[in-house]
Amino acid sequence: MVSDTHSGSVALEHPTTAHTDDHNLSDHDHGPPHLHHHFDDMEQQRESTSLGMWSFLVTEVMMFGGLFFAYSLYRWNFHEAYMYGSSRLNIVLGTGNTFVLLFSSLTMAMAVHSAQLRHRKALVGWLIATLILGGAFIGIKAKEWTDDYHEGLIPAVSWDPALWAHHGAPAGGAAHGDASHAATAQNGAAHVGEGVGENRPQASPSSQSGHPAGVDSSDARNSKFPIADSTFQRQVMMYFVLYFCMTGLHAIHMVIGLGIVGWFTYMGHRGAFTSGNDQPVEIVGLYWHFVDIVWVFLFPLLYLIHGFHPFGGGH
Amino acid sequence: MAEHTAQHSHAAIDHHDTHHDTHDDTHIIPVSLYLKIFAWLMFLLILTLGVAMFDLPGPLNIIVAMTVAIVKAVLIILYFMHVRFSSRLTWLFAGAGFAWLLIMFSLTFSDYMSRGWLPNPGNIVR
Amino acid sequence: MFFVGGIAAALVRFNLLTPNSTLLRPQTYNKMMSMHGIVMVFFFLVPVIPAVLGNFLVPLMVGAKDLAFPKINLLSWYLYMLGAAIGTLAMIFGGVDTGWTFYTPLSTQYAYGNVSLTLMGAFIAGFSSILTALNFIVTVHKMRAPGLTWFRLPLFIWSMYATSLIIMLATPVLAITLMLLLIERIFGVGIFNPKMGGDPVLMQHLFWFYSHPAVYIMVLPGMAVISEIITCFSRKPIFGYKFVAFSSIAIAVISFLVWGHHLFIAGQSPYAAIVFSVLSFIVAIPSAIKVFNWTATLYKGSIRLDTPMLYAMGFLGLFTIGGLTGLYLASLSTDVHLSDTYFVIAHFHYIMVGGTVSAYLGGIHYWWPKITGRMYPEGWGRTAAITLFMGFNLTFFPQFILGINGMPRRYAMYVPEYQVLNVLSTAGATILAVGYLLPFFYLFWSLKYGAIAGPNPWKATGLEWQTQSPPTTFNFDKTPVVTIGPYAYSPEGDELEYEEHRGDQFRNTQGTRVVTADAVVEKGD
Repeated sequence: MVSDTHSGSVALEHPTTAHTDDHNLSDHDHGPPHLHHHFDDMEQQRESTSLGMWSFLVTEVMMFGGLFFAYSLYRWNFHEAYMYGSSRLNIVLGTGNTFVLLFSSLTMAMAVHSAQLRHRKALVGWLIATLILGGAFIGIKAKEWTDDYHEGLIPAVSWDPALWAHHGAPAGGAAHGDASHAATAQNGAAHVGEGVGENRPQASPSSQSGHPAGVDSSDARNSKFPIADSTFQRQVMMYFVLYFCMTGLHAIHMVIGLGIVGWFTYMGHRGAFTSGNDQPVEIVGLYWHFVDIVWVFLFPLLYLIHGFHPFGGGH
Repeated sequence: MAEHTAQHSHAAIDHHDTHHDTHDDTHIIPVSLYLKIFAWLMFLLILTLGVAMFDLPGPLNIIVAMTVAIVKAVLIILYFMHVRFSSRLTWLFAGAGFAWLLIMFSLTFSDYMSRGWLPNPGNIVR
Repeated sequence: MFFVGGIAAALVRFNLLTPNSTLLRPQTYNKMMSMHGIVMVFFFLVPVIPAVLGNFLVPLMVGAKDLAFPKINLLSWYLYMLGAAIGTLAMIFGGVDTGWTFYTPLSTQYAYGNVSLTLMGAFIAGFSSILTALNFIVTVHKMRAPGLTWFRLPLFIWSMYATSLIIMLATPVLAITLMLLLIERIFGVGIFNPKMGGDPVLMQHLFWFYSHPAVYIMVLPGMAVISEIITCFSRKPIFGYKFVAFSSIAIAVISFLVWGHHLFIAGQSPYAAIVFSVLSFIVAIPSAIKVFNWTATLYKGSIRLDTPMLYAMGFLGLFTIGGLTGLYLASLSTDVHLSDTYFVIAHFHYIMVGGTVSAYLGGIHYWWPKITGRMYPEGWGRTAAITLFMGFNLTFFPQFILGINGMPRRYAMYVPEYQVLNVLSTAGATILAVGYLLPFFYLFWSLKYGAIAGPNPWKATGLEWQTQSPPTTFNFDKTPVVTIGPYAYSPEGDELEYEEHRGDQFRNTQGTRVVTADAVVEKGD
């Protein structure tokens, strides 16, 4: 065969004759039933699918990363507005969500563990636990967003700054490094005008005025922020746009994850993953943990900007 | 003839599979380790809240918060996602995503933060 | 999609025959130039070589039965169809006039037309791209035949691998940018709108973070093809294999560090601009290394100027010109003058059309016998290649001059002084169109009437040539075992054999002669 003399790179015999080997076509009697035809062995299949999921997660990192960047840029410029926006979020619910998701990562890891050990009932149990916790996350999110809707905080949907003044904020809290943040906000506001040449927020000096130290009346938080100022309102809207984009994208990923976990619960119940084919559970586990990690970053960045003051009183 | 054996040895691997099936990179993480990591994650969550109660000077608040978040993420990646016991290729891919994010952040912020440093004409602000 | 984009280009060029936009209304012109860009970038250049050649060749070249995830491959195809269908729908409903770059606030606040639909089409096509890249990466890592180490891989694989790396890391950022644009347009919030506190330069940063690596997504596969063609048609191993392989990876990495050169006049800080300028000069180096190595491969080779080689030679010259003119644009002071002029247009067309499209056509011709089992008519092939080369240069070289003289891009009208060069350019475009149409016809013709090709009509090395044309379902009858590196050509030895059989292969095109390399085998295995 000419290939021998010219390329020498392949040791094949008679490639042009139909010399089928047992290796290739439709016979099933080598390898386990979940070995796909184009793979040579389970090891290759396992490594390939794992690498495939990791590659996908890398793309997800970059996708969320774009949003995180936009968030960072505007936080740097509109720090005051971000503080206010953050103060309007419910930290209790946010913490609850974080706890729920971290717990669900544990249950997911346990599910993978069960699949590896071929414990069918345990696998199903842990997957159901993950479903419940994930569902709880979505439920809590729904509650949060409903509250936001009623408080006029959803841009373009129910945006109503007039409602903000009525918000009975819990006592204390806004004296969180005000002086330094005030200075940054002023510079930050100037940054936005730069490069664009317009819309220099005129109100920035006034937003720094009148910061009584250590005030803790129940409307303290609101009174420290110039919520009536339209520029400030626009900046708060930027915060909420990014808040809803980021938590929205995250929620979409959660829902997709829940769908897959639900499907896997059914398949797992039928024994699909406990007879040697635990790899899919591992893969879904990777995805689930990733979604959890995104939330681990979202929580402090979105909820804790203005600080956490459960006991009231300024510093 | 040598090639034939090369090819057939590839086919004759069935007996391997049953061994590999029950292992992930030949390593099953014990439940106790999962629970330990979870305990740490809970502690770090409380720490996140705790740190937020204080008012640290300058940008320290966000630095500390992000550090805690990174530690949580690293724990999840290493143990729940099994990277600790995975091949170097997996480490490379896991790291690459964050490295690239770093590129995006650092170069873009280098633009925004250096605006106004040079007094060139037409420079709009400052 | 290529022909849709081509028609848009034809309308653009014909409108530019006269200074006053007599053929089209300016807004229609804007829509045509936008459509040309959108279709060509998102629906042609990014997917074409990976989808058409890569999907077919990657498993063959690594000796695998199929890609790692065949079903994901199929999903990638369906997503592309969906994205292209939505994009086409947007065009039918009236198109967009924002330019393919969708700069804000024009695209989000003021543009008429179907920006949202177009954004969705591009968004979906982006996911198609990501899935293909994912498949390639896993296949190259995990499914190589026994004995096929990384440094025995054909350079086609190295370049496709590098392309896939870029796709995985860059396209998601495009996805999020398009999503934010959609949200801004649909909900009227001001993420990038200065009147609402937003920053339009942010959009440019995020957009170009993808779009600059995207141009390397478009050109690296072209380079992949060239490495294969030049070695085969000069009957020589590649000069500096490792340098070419590593420079593909270097291009992939460094391409992510230069996007700011699209923002030099957008209000970016001069310090950042200096950094990006230096990095842009650096990114030219790996590309230059490749050009040097390809050229050195030709030296003392036994050159055959068959159709694929003609395209490859065209690539070498045109890509070099395109690359060198990029340096003028990377240089801050000259960029201030040249930015947004026809100089930029000529620069990237030299690379994308003179480079990628030439390479694509060369690759199509080179692997046509492998894919279809038929040979194309060589005479027509060469005619088309030369027509393309002439037409291309006549179209785009005047545009460099126009650009230096200050003619702005994306304008339907221009001052009369520019007319002569514009007319030349349009004349060239007509010739170029002929160069594109010819292959379309004779390639289809060859499906029925072309000479039947055997497994290796080019006497090339590489695993894909060691199996049937077209390959069987699982590519190889037996898993290949690889013992030596690629490109084991030798000018002297093959010279004789090639001459002996060249006449046989190309003389008779009635489809009755079976030409296989077995004819050579008769001398003894």
